[in-house]
Amino acid sequence: MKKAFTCLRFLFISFTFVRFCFPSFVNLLDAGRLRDASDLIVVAQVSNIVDGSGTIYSDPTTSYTGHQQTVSITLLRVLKGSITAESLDVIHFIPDAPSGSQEVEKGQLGIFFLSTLTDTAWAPADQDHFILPARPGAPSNAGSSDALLAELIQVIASTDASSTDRALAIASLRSISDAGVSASLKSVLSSSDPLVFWSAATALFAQADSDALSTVQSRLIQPFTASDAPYTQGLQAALRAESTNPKSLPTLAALLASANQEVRRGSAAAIATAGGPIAVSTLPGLLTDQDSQIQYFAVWGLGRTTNQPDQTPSYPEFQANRDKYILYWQSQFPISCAADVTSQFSVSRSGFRLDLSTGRFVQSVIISGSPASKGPFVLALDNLNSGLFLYRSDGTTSCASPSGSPYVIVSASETWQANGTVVLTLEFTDPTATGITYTPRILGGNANR
Amino acid sequence: MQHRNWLYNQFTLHQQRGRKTVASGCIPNEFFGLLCRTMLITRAMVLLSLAALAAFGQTGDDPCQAYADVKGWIFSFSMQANGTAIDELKTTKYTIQHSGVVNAPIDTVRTESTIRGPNGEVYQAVFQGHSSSHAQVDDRTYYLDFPPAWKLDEVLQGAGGNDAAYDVNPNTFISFQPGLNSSCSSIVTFPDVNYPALYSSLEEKGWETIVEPFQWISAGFFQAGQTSILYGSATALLDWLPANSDPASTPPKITRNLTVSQTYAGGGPIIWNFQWTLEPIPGCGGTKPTITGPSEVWWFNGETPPNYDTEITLQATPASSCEHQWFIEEGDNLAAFSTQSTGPQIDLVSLGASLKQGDVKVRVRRNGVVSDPFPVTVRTPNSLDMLAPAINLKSEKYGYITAINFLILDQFKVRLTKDIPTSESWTSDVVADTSSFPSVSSSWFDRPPEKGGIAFGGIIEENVSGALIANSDPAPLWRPLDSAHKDKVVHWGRMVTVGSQTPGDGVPVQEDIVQLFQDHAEILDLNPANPK
Amino acid sequence: MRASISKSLPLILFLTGFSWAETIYDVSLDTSPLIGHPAGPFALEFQFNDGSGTGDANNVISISNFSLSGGKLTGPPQANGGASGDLSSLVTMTDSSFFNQYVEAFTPGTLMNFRLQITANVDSGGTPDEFSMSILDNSGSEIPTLGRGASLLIIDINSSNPIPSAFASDTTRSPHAGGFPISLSAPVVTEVGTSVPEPANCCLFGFVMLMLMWLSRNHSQNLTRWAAQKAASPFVTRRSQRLATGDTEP
Repeated sequence: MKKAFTCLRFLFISFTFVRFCFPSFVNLLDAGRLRDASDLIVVAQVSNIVDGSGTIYSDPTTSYTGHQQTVSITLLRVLKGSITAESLDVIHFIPDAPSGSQEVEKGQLGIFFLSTLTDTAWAPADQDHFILPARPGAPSNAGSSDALLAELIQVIASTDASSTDRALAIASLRSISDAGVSASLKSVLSSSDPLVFWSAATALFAQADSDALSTVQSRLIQPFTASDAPYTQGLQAALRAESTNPKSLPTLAALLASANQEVRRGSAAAIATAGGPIAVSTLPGLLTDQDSQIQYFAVWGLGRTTNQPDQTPSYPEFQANRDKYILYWQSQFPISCAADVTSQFSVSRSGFRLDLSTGRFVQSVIISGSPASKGPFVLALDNLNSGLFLYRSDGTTSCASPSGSPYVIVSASETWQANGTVVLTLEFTDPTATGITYTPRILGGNANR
Repeated sequence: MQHRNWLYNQFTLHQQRGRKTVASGCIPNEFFGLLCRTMLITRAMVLLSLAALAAFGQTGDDPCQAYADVKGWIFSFSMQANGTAIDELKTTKYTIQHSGVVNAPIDTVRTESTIRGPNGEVYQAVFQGHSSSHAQVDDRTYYLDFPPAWKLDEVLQGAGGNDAAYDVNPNTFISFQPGLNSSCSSIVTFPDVNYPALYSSLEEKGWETIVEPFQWISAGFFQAGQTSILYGSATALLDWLPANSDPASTPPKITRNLTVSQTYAGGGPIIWNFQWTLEPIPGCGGTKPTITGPSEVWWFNGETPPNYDTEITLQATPASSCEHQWFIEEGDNLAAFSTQSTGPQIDLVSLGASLKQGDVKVRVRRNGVVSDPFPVTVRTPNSLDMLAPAINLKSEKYGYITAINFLILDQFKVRLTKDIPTSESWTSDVVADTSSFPSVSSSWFDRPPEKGGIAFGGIIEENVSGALIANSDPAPLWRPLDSAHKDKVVHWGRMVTVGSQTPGDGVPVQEDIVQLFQDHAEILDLNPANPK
Repeated sequence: MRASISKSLPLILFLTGFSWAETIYDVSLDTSPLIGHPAGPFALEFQFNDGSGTGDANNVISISNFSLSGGKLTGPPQANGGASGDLSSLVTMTDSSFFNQYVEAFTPGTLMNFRLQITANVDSGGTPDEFSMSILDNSGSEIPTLGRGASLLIIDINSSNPIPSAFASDTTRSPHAGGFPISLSAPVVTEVGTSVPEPANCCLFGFVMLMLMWLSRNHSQNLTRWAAQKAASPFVTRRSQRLATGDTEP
């Protein structure tokens, strides 16, 4: 594994020639790789930093200017390797140009991953990831029998640690399959810190954890808040990894009705990858989705599941001949959509009030009538202004045109009492106080919405 | 007494006896006709075999040799002569004699026959023959081993009352050259005794092809008292395909009809209808091969990174030492054989990316039996997708470092999971987003050099720094991403490629903008750069 | 001609921007439970949100004659969107934006009173303009009530005679700012009448009417008398309405 970190190799004691890489492309942050690459892993605190003179470092493809830096650290705990000294020096290279590698500062506490440089000097095992966060005290409850994992789990669990420290610790453990790590990630699913929450959630999804998926299902269905949005971009890839866990499939199917595009994409990709009966039952309904990637996953998944390679195009091929593939699969799996029964009801709406405690605009909708059609009935909000979201919607239409309309359940029963009335309270997330307009539509029956 | 000359390239028919005579050719009576037919059959078979042998007897480097073998063919044909009814045939023996060179006895035993009368009733004769004899040509000995049984269906029709007798010219023979694969450049000509055939190879090879249809390259005809040689050759390759084989038979047979028209002094023409039925015996022919091996191969625009096979090996099963002919039925612009192979194994190398699953279809022919298509998909990296939330870290020196991870996806949006080299290259200069600042001398314009790295587990991690605080206006600062402002400072264009650490090499997967804000960085305008 | 004039009336009203009447309510709220409550200081909050979504400014709310028995306004007023003015004199709110709000802090007395005038032009599209009122605690959140969006009073302008809905506080929930649940009775809303049209509109309306009269040679005498009566009389006496406390949402 050390060879994998070819970034830092000292060929001459005089340090006149160093190979390393620190571009914006850096080595993957992975605690397992760091551990394997390191001769010594310590929890330590930076006691002094001395900047050396400028120099040029080269590797086979380019060269960098920068300077050496000697970082003195005071050891607190040894996690790998052995050392009798209480402190040591680490020779570090600091490039002049911003390169993406994080520098350390005096007094900083962390986990240092070191390689032997000389008998008395050390170098970062990975120039890109010199240090990971740590807490001052040793882990009290062994979240893991592995010393390194226990330290990182402690950071994750510590609400005193910064969001970024906790997120870094989570990121470093992303590919580690360990019961203690998994438990630690699940424990922060109740965190109100969006960065910590989403880091843990995506890490658990990437490990195909069906419990985590069920736990956060409602949060995935609802529109993301402004504080969530910057941290949800990795959801699609993470959710797709859930395809390997059969227990996750029912939740993934429910998430197809999410108001969030990344969630729907990831769920569609996961179901398409999993194949089987759930793919055949859910993917046809996605052929009319507004999002072309979701349409693609429906086509690709059906092609794989039914073993029709000629109808299993690549994404570029699908984009070039979309109609051909959509029409083919629609002919193979004709679906019926829920009927528009709005004319059988009377729909009366109130005005809007901003509830200052929630930040959402609230509206009452009274639905009454004696419909001839059978339920269940949902109220869909067609042409809702972009940028607005219906809070706690029960799904988004994908079959009954127009698609992409959020809907709420009016009545889950097939029967509706004659002259019966249902009062709904709708809440809208409207961060810019844009005027809220929509056309109400009532869909009836058990068919696809 | 009829004699059958057993030659390596020809044989003659001898009239045994008959109640009627004909001017030449095969007599229409049962005996002569049958005899004639027998001779013709045997001769043809032998000729075919010998021709094959002769074809095989070319230089060992000639791929045509692979298609010449006599072993194992059950060769039968029926003849129809517009002659008179023939008597029931009786068991007899025939020998084939090579004119002027060597006599190779052959034992044939006819077990039964059916005769068609002058009104068109079908006469049928069944010959069973077995020979362990050999032919000696010069200093070479050729052993020919017929299968235990071969069948002849004969149909004779009378000439409608013509009592003319047909004499079978004892020297009449028919020589058929087996045709050669159209890819071969040479045509074996007969007769030629100077073939450097290898006896040992003879028994090991399987009959790859037969000729279809037969074409006369020189016309001959039966003449009384003379030896006439009729040659046939073909220019097409015939496979054991359902369209040309008897689907009800196992192993599959190929049946072809051949008409020989013979005129003779005082009568005729005599129409000889030959129906050739060829079937291989198990071992080298007749068994449909199956291709096994990897069903996907990778393409990286000329690069060959480790962990991803850009070349795969396919096998034909069950194992066989027979000649194989590999071909790419579809997708030859996406993959090609890296070597020519006639063995049961071949290497396939990628040339371009698949548009659909399994759109490269490989087949193999062995003894004329073709395998089902074996689909292969050529995968290639195609786009990037974010893996996890970006993390914006504080930096005392640069204000911030934004850590962003990407997954690498192929053209089917399936992620690459093994380590793969990647690189980035700049497609533009650093561009200021405002007219007033930053100054070109500020650190905002100090971007890192283009570089490559290894995406471990198929994951690209990139850390994008702000600018040196001490030399930047505006000074970079840190905010968490959910509170980040959208104050753009500088940006530049970038291309990400996969397959090589050398910037620009490999497959382009994403063209984007590296955007530096005052308090964080983003990768914008993610447009997958599909391979052109 | 009678028929043509009467059919033209809605058009005339529309063109002159003239609402047939502004409904006037007197609102009274017992604020004694707020005195000394730890969730204070408190603020009075009004919203007037557009139903059309376009900020069509087709309705106006006026709040006047504001008083706090034993209490006082501590300000400063905060006005957003189409809100302006000061509770010490007059607050005007139009639905010129989707969201229009007026907030002003106060020290509660025993009783809060104010007069509310509201026009009644119904928006098309199915969603009416809505006026609402709440009291905010020191965290800026509403005191929990039984009304939609934690409101004490809601008036949806969904007809020419909109019906106010008043709500009591939710005594099962504590304010966001802390302290024990507050027990506020629903405001008492009394309709006291309607107001005359604005002078400018009145003149414009009269001019149009005269034009129609001049064009019509055979108009009905009754219709003329009727129109003249409406133009002259400032008020139309109407029956008062008093709403029961604890009403839930309509």
